Amino acid sequence: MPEIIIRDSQPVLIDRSLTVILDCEKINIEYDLKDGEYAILIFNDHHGNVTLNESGKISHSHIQISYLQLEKYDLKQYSRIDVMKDSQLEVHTTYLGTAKKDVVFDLFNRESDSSVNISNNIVCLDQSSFSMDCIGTIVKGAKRSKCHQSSHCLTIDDPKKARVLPVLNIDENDVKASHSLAMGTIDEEVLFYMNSRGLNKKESLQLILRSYLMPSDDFYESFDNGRKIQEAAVRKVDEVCSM
Amino acid sequence: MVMNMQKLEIKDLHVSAGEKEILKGIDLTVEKGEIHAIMGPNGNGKSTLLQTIMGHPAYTVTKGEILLNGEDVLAMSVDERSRKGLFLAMQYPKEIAGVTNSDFLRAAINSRLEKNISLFKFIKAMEGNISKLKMKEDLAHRFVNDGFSGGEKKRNEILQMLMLEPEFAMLDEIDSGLDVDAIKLVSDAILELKEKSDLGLMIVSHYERFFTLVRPTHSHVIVDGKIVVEGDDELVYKIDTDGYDWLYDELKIQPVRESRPLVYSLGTCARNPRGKNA
Repeated sequence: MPEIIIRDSQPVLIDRSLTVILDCEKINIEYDLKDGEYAILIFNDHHGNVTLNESGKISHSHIQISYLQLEKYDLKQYSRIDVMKDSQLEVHTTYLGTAKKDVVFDLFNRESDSSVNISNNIVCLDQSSFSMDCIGTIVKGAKRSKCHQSSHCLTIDDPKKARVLPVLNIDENDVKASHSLAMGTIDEEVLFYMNSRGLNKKESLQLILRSYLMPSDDFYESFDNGRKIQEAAVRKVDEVCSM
Repeated sequence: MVMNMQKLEIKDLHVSAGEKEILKGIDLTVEKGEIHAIMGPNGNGKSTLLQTIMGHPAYTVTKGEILLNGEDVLAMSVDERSRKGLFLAMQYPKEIAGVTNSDFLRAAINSRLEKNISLFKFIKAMEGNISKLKMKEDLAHRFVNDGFSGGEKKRNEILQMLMLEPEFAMLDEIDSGLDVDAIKLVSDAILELKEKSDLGLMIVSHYERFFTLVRPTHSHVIVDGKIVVEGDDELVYKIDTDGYDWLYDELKIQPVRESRPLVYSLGTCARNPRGKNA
């Protein structure tokens, strides 16, 4: 799967499977995906604040978009995607909540037999603020459509620093939709158990966060340079645990 | 040259959980190669003693000291205690979903080495110990204690002990949840490690069967936060036969009775099919 590195704010059109490396402050992505199966991996590798704007539509296709946002800088993300007839959109997100992160997903089932499935894995560290609005809208006429959301948020130390808001706007009767959100902190007894085997807090957190945030090895193998990205992602998680 | 005898010393240890004093002056010394049986009725401080030695944050030491080879254990963090050679096999081992046994143990071993253990050496040791304890071959790739049966969790504690090779191990009711064959396997593994590294042990158990296999060199009975009687393995067998009542009578003491919250039932407001209150 080819890879592109975005280094300026010029709009980038994505119309095929890609590994997308973000490496500038302002990024604009436009999706136009149709008639096929596509996998896209968005990996933030910019050493600084990032504003990411995404928009676009998918038609007669099956799309999987995965986000790895593990940088220790501010992030502002707005993603709006229209899902048209007979299309499936699967979104898997991974956010390491350091600094200030504001994320909005605005996903529309625009036509009949469309499907949206978004799952979010978030870790929010102390001294950070994380906010996510995950909005699914099924418009009138989008019959037999599906929209499902699930979010898991792990907060370290202070649970008040994370805000995750699942929203479903449904304007059609013949649909299936659901949302779920689980939020919690690390069990003190688990930390004691790990400490009692010789792991200090940093080492324990590294193991827990890697397991919580990192997708499986199989996931990376489907991308070009997947192994390299996996190693970079692990480094970022470890680096944040050392802060 | 003065040789510093390798031992774990507990001196006049007083421990509280919140406002409640649980341990009221424990004195105990365990030397390497010794096996100490810790007995006593439920809720009288046995597990508290082991958890306090390991550094559980729920317990506060109000008086006394714990020394490991002369070093102040109370000044050490929990992970430091482990790296210095203490190990606690827990009564209720925690589940860590998402973290595999092999990642967990490798990280734990590396935390006490200057140079990381080689993958080959680690796998060889892990496979050898898994086989010794007759555990499932895929254990290394399973998440720590996640979805394990009670017996598997206890064996996994012993597996971790074999891999980490501590100087002093504390086993908190490690035999509960194990079937007869598993108790034999576990006790054989414990004794093998003791032979190999002169391991010192403190074992909490209610059952003579386990002590018959590991044969304690010393035994202690804790009642109401104090060691009230000490002896050798004969004391274990006497308690197994006669219980604790003779001790209460002889020493004129009373154990702490485990208290459970009082539950009031208001009955049910549900109606039965005839329309009357159930």
